Amino acid sequence: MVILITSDNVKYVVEKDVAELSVLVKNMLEDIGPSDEPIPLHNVTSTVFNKVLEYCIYHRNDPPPSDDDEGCASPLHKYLASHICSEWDQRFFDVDQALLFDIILAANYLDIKTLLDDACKAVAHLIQGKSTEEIRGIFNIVNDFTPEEEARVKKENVSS
Amino acid sequence: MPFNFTKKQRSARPPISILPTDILYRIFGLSAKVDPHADKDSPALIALRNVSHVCARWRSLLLAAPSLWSQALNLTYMKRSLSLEYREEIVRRAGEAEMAVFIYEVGLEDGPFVFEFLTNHWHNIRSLYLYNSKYNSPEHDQMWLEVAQRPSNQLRNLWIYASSRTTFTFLHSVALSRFPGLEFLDICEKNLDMKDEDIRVENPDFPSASLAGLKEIVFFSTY
Repeated sequence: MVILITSDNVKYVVEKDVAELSVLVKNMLEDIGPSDEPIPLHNVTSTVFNKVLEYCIYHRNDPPPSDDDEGCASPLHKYLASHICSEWDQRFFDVDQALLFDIILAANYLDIKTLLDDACKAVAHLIQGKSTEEIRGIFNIVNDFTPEEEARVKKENVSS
Repeated sequence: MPFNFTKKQRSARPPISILPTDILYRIFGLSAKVDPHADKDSPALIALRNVSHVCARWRSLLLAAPSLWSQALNLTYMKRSLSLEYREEIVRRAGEAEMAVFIYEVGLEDGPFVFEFLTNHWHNIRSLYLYNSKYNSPEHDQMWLEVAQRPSNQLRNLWIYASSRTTFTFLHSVALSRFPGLEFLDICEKNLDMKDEDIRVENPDFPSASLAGLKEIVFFSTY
């Protein structure tokens, strides 16, 4: 078992194979060797880590991600890989945006590639097929173009 | 990745603004992944354009990412739906990045743009998807033969749904190792009532197999 402590001082006792889905944790365990010392996770709160842990436990037996997913696959393979297929994953990422983005940051910090990929797919799914106005509305983004930029943008919408 | 926003700053910004640039690029790329079999009707270029029009930060990120534009070059859509100025702008944004080019049903008016693009950027095309089920004019037929015979060390993915003559010429080039780096080959021949002599091998002087990188071949797949 591995002891992990989140930034708000919540302690977790996690099975080693689950904890080692995080490359950060795996490397730290290798660096410190056999030890009962807790590993601090400075950039992750317990709220977010609860979700990260839920994902890691569910996916603990998945095959490791391939390093060449992006580099070698054909566009069709890349397209098929860009979608979340599992219903469990779809439900898992059906959270408010603030938490979703915190999960992304946590996955990035903890270096959990599959979680980072899947969370980014969930955000991409919010964008796909949407107009510019719809995307602004979904993410609460304000149009901050200068009049000159706005004019250029409008020209790009003109059909031939 | 440290969180640099204070609570007050964070509340004033949209939640997505906490994501660093590399993550946003990853999301933009995923949101504009091309489905080669559907890009004719819903081009990924539209998604890229819409994202690039959201706000100044997103636009600056998109404009600085040639590999996003270069992977969504639907020439038919560009010719038929975009102004000449924006079409040229997209090609400029793609820069020298490796290209994925999608071509669907090249009409007479599309030809000059499509063939000029292929001529100018052939050395940069990593993926070529050609869906051209309709009858070619003799002039276009000759142009396709010239395209199909042009060697490329860059070509990795080739997807052809075209006339027998065009399809066979591409296959001939594959056999002659004109595309030595080819990894994925997907061929769906469109039978256009051609006679055997139309597709006869003129010079069956094939070299020994040298497509070491070939990972997948699909013949006569249906879509």
